[in-house]
Amino acid sequence: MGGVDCNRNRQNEYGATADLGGPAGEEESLCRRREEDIAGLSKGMAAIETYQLTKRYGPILAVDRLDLRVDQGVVFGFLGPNGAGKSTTMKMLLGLVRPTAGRAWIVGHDCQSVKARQAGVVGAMVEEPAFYPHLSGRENLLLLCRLSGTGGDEVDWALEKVGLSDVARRKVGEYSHGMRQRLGIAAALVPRPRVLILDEPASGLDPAGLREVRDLLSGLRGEGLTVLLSSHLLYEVQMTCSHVGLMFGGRMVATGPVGELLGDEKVTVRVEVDQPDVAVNVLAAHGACAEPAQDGALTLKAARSDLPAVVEALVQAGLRVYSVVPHQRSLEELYMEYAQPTPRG
Amino acid sequence: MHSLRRAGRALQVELCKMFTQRSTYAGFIIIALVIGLIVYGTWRHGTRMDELGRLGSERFVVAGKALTAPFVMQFVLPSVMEVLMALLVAAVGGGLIAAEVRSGTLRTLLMRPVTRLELLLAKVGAGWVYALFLSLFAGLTAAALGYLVFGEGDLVSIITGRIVIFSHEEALARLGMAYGFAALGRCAIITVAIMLSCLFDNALTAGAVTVASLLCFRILGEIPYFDTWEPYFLTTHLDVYLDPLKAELDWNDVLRHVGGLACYVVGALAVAGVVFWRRDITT
Repeated sequence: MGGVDCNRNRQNEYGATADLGGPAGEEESLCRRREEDIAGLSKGMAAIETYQLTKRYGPILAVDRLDLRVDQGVVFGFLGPNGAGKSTTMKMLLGLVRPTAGRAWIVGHDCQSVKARQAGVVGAMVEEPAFYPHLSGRENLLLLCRLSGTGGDEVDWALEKVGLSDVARRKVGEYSHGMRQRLGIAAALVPRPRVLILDEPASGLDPAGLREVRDLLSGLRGEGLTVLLSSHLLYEVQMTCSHVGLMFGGRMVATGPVGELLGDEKVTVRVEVDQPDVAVNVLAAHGACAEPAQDGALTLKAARSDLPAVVEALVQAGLRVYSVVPHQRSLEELYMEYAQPTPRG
Repeated sequence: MHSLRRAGRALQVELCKMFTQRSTYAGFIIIALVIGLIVYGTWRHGTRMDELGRLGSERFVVAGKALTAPFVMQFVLPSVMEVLMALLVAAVGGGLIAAEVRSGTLRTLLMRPVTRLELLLAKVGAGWVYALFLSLFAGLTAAALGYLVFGEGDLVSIITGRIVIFSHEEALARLGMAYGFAALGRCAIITVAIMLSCLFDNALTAGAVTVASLLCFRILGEIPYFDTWEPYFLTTHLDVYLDPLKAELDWNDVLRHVGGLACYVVGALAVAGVVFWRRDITT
């Protein structure tokens, strides 16, 4: 993963500590910790890991024995209906909510420990981002950098990344909902973290904003950043995430790479030919089971890699092939398969 | 050591937030206005020293200048420091946690590398700085306006229910101590307000409960039945600022009151720490 980024972070932290007048010992310790983190990651340590993580609010079981592992460099989409336990899980990962049972780690640090939130480890935006309205967007970020013990070197970079450079000096109280959302993402990015946790990052954004967030996440993924994001925009998740986890009733019901979950190896193909009855026999001879649809077309399940052979067989049999349309199962379809009432408590 | 550094950074952030907010200065403006009105009223009314005679069984005449800068500074102590400033610090302290929980900014802060205890201590520190600045401001404003309008002179102190006369130099020293102790009391009030701010999600409720508690202590302190409880009331120890204005300064009494205030501070911090530590930040 991005060795360049690691070095860049280390330099920034070094410089920032010097700015604050901290002794050299602290700088060294900060760098050493960062090196340990990176070493841990390169050894295959999960960026995010939970073990039997449970949260109960009185009679409500919000998260039920969640075992989750998000490897480095993965953009993990956290899906589920409202109240499924996604935000609660994220809050537990960030130490905002204390688990009833189980444990969670970020880059090997216990999530309840302050080490898990040290500069450059995790950045987050959970629920609606909140800032001080009497301060400008830039001042808010500088304040957070100060709290993290770093300088504000990357504040301008983050503001530019989310398209807020022009209004950076305007008071946050004057920001629109979408602008505050972008500022929330910028806040999560400074100082540049190794793990990014975003809860509904696209909420309230216009189509252009959605696209920018998608591009931003793709770019961060390219830089080796691990992202855990929750969203109700399934299409966006499918476009952005490499892995997804479906959570219902506080439990993870499905998790894995997007392609694997959607069954990339087998697709439903709709074939339009001039003689469907003949085509069924031809395909049967090639080991493919086609079924005639009501409109005269055929549907069959086939591996995407077999499609050229299917078309070739039909053409060689003298059939006219008008269209071959593979239908990939969408994340929405997968989601709806699981979306059924789950008993809680 | 790291913890201290983090707490120090959090304190800087809290102070920055506090003193970049316009509403923070409302307290200073109110205090300046009230002291200005006190000085103006005293100046227009002439001397109230005639009323001093009511303190004794016989009327007597005060010769010389009774209205002096130290007198104004002394007058400000019970009127501004005890009542007005208690309200102001309770309001500010009540909002330090509760308002941030409600607005969601506490979540933003706690996602950074700072423990809850460190953040709590930073907030208490910022609250103390506010209380100390406000007390200092009240003292300096009273002194400035007092010297401007009435000039220097001895202090005829009536605040303790007895007439005590201090020379100008001694009056300044005694008043300095009185303001210092009053500031200490405001720090205790703001700590209690912060504790209540951890318990309630509404800043107004936390501030109101703080003031209500002070009033309750004050009222109960007036009822002889509660005399045995009085040493444990916060208001009993808040009156420590009166000690330097007595003819003889009883250091044992001062230490007892300061100890009482310290107990309230430690107790409030302990409760606030436990509540804040265990709390889930769900908003």
